[in-house]
Amino acid sequence: MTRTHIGGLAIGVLLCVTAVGAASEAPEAQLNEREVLYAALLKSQVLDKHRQLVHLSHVCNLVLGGRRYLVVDVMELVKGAVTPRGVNRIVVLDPALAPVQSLEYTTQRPLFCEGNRLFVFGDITVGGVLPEGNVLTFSNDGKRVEVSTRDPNDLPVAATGTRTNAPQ
Amino acid sequence: MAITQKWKDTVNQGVSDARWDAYDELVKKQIAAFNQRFSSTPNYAQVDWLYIKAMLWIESGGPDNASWKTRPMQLGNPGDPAFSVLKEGKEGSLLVMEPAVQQALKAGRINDPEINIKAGIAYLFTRLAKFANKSAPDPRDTKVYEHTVAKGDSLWSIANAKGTTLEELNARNPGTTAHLKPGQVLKYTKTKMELTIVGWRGFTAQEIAQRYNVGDPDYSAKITYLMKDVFPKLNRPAPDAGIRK
Repeated sequence: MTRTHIGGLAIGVLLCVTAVGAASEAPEAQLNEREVLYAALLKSQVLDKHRQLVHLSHVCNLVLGGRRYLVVDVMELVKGAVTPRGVNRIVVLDPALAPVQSLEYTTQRPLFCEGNRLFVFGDITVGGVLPEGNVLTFSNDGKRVEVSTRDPNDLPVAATGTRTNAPQ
Repeated sequence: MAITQKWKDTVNQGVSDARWDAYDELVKKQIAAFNQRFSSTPNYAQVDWLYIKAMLWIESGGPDNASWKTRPMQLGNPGDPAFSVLKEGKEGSLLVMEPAVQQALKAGRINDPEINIKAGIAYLFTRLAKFANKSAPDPRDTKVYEHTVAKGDSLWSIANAKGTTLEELNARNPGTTAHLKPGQVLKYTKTKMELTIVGWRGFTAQEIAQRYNVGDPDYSAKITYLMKDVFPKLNRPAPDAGIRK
């Protein structure tokens, strides 16, 4: 667990740094990228100033039309309640870091990307409307999402931690 | 994580304090209405109103907390997405919520405890409903139309141009829509895609915690504690104050 202080908010961020490969490749990891993402999400009002950000991580990159789109995992809590209410979202940012998609989840987790597909732990819906599934296929600059299901035993495994999919 | 003793001490006050029952009749009435209204929807099981009572205690912290008389279900706190979902009728909530509740929310009455509770119940049911877009016929026009396929037509373009759906074209012309040929005649009625309740998730402590609350890892355990360890022990002076009517 790494604690980062950004913009006055103490943000507990679970930083999942997958092995990038040899030590000589380490500089590819941008250690300040969460600050960049935080600023972009705040500017685009994906983050709500009334909520407490409790998790922010860059999961992977989708490749759409030859361009990279960032998949970001965001967890917030509504402040001020006796019992905190959570707001969890998978946010897709275009190469200019503008949000193109925001998908709510509850207990699921975004896992990794392969091309234009994002694999998820558990089944989610888009906008609360069936179908639900663990594979999200993006098109139309990230604005269109199709949901499908794949047996977890059949998920591709090579996509995690490769140079093309590791956080850039 | 485990429920704290401090939290238990707070809700245990409700065992001998009838003020904690202040909203029972409202909740019972609401849940009875929802149970009747949704009984014909697929996979619906009658909901125990005590789940809502438990949520009310968890969300508000009880009658000594200021929110008890304003936002007992904690809807409408700044940054709470549930409030805007209901106010704007998003995520299928229009199929669940009474129109009067939405009007009250639009009128800014979220701090009216009765509205807050009704809104909380509507949001819970919205979160536990399974919605899907289904092809629905236009009740104002039940005529069966015909379209002669032209060069360049696709099912999608025909559906769009004629005010119908892919599902309707496939259903009314079985086995003939996979490969369209110019000159082929397709039948259809006017249909459109409508959001529909197609099922329900279980009204269990775990589902309520995951779908309604999301943020408190102890939420499910708190509901279970109230349902199993607290509510059966409620000590009320009036003979008709039993909670399982």
